[in-house]
Amino acid sequence: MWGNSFAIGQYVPLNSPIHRLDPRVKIVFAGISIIDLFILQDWLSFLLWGGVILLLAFLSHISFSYLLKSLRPLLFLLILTLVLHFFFTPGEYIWEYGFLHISREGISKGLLIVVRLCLLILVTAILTLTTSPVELTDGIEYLLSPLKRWGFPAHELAMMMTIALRFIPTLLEEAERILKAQTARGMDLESGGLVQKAKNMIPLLVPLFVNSFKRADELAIAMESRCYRGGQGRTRLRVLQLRAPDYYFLIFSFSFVTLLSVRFFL
Amino acid sequence: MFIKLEQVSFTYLSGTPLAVKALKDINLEIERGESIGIVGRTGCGKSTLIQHFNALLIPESGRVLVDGVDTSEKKAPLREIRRRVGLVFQYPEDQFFEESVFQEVAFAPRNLGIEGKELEDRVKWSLEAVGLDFATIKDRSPFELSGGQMRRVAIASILSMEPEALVLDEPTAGLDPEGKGIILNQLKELQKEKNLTLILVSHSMEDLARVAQRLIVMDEGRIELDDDIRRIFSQVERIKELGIFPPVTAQVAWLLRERGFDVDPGVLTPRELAEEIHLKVLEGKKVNVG
Repeated sequence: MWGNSFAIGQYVPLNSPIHRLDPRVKIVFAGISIIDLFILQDWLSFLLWGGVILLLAFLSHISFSYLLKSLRPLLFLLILTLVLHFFFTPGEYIWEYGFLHISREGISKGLLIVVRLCLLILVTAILTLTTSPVELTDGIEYLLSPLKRWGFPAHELAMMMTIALRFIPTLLEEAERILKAQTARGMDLESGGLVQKAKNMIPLLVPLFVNSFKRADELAIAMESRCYRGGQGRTRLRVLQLRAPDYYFLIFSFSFVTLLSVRFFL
Repeated sequence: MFIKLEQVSFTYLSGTPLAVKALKDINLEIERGESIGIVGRTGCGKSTLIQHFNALLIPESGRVLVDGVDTSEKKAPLREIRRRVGLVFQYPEDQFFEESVFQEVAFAPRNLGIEGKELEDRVKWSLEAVGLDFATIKDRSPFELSGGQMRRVAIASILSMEPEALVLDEPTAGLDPEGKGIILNQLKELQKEKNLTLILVSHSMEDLARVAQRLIVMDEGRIELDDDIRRIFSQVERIKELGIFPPVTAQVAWLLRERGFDVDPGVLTPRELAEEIHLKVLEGKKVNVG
């Protein structure tokens, strides 16, 4: 009953200009910005990128604090990167204690890399926060479909992704239900050594697998009874079509990236 | 007083934008040996309520007392509470994981540290209590049984803890009429013989009419009605507002009342209804049938 309450892919269903953009455009944008952010090395470029991300966040109606939350899972990695660069970059030392030392180069390099990582995460977060999983897989399928000519299973891949995403909340809900049911039967997850603890999971895992296989069978039958035969000749309910804002956005992002790169290569 | 709820409220995903208030200010007292039905529309909080009875959920505010023990207390003996108040979830056969029926039913008592002869006695007793033959079924795989047998094994796997109260969420959902009948009869018998407190969540008024004496009607996280089942079924208009349709027997009685016959609207079974019609409508006007 509460299955839909698990936040998956953190998609926030709003109706903003960014949400309305074609998913393909957003995926392409995320792709080129990732490449661009890896090429760029200077603070001015990062500052400009920061400004673009702020602008996108503003246009997408997603609160900035919520956007920043997407950094949290990687906080440890960010801090680790920072510390490693601080202490292990050779150069002009500004602080020393025993074998520990911090160099000026270390600080600037560390900060630069951490800011780059943050920008990368934020760009992709804007993509996943404003694009529903279904749109996302649709977009990926479209973008990969030219590869079909060489036998690449673009449709099957997208369908697998859609199904997997669709069933994550269902599985979580089911796991919670079985956990509760077995707890009511006195199941004990805590006690015992490592082997015993692994054994304690059996009452949870076996039903979860059995039910997943059952569900997969049912899904296959349901799909076949609706004449699903793979991507061949399949039409779509929502045909992706580029509209004026999509073109504006593409032109804007390409010119922005080109400008930055020109500065970089000159 | 066996189970007592004092101003219990509960919210799912509390503190997030997705928070859902599932229970609002519930006060409830359940005596030992009672047989209670809980009804209400889907999403009215029935399942949330029953999970409070055995401390699977701890109230957000208010308290739940099981035989005087507060479930929200830090050192509350949760396992003991869950043994005393056995909870059978909806589609309980989904939790099967053992290779034989015996092992499946033995899981719960084993977790309580029961072994050997007593374990076997308990498994035997529980399987027989739900009307299954111990010798023929104990070595079969729980996954190859029929739907009705599976459901009964699942109920037995809770009964083997020898609970003092048995709470069942939709125990007859998806079963054929025969399977339904067997389960309801066994539950009724257990309640009478063992003085088991029986709490049944169901959408089927016919089922509840067969087993429950007291009925709790919930709506939007609140208890709207809590009374003798006959008195509730006789308030046809009121309970229809709450999304509940009384059993056909009560509806027929109600239609007869509207036509001016003094039929008791609280009839529960077809037999009772037939008696009422015979007494109050036909008044001995017998016709020869056949």
